[in-house]
Amino acid sequence: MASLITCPHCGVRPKEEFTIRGDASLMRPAPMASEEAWHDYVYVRANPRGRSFEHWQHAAGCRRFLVVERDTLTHEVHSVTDGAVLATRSGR
Amino acid sequence: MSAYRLPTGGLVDRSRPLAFRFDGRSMRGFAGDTLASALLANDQVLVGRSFKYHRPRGIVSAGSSEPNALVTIGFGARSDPNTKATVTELYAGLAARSQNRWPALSFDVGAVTGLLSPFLAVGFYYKTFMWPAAFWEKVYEPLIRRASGLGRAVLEPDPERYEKSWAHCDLLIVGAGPTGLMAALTAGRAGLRVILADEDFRLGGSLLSEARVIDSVAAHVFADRVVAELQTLPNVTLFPRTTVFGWYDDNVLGAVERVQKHVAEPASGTAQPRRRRSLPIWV
Repeated sequence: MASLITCPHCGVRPKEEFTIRGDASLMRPAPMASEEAWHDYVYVRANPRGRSFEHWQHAAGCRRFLVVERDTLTHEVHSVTDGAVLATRSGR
Repeated sequence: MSAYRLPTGGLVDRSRPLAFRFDGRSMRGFAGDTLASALLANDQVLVGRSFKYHRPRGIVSAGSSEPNALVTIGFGARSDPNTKATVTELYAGLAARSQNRWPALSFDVGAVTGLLSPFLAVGFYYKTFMWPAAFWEKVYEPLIRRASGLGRAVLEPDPERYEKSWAHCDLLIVGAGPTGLMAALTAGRAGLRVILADEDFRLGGSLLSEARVIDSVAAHVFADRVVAELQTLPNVTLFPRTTVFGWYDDNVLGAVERVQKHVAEPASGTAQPRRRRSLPIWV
């Protein structure tokens, strides 16, 4: 994990200010989706080696939910986007 | 004073004697002594017992690589086990205790295994202490626990306060020896924000034990002059008594500063309430 994360609102901050909130690549299934779809959404995680998208909350700063794209192998942070901005852009 | 103390030389301040105790015995050293140098000056050559067979151990190094001279410093909840005497700054009222000896440092029951050692195979205790099974919990384990290990952890709650704070700089220099001091001076004069950290309580590194002359003054005087100039530069921060222990992603380094480890009782004022400060440095 990188030591520093660049928050789009607050600038470069140490990672201790952030709290991980889980995988950001998952899409919530429809309410009446099958039990398998809900089981996969709630319990099954890929644990990728390489690039991953995660929700990180800037708990000791702006308190926004951010989507951090980082590499679990090289510790490099590729992008940090506000979750709401990303959702609007991708039409979620 | 002491037969083992030279009348001149070294970096101790002979005008400031300090009283301290080792295993209850009163001893005297000077300001600028480490606990190790003060013990040697008091003819205390035996300072501990080996981990397993309780063989007598003395001081072998002059710095943080010391494997033998591990002592417990302080009383009660403020005891610090396994502190290296070679890096411990002497202060008035310091109380040090030797470790891993019973009943006393000079007479140790455990050392009897040393006399028997020609008859004991390597790892004999793995086989000897197996039988009878009921003996393990009541007899063998308490015996072995008493025999091995070094200092004892404190059971009381820790009364100290600790602090974590971030430091920022353009250039971090670890070690205030001749190279570190020159690098700090060059970068400081050029206007960079410099942090100079050294684990010792006196900056200078090898210059402090160097016999040669630099700029027609003794090496330690030269080091003091460089340190004095660094102190006048507002963009240079000096961190003595600070160990830099890790280099993490994004050029963040971890350091621990022993803020009030060199005093008997930490000052109770709010200015410096902490005993130790962990210091992530962001370069």
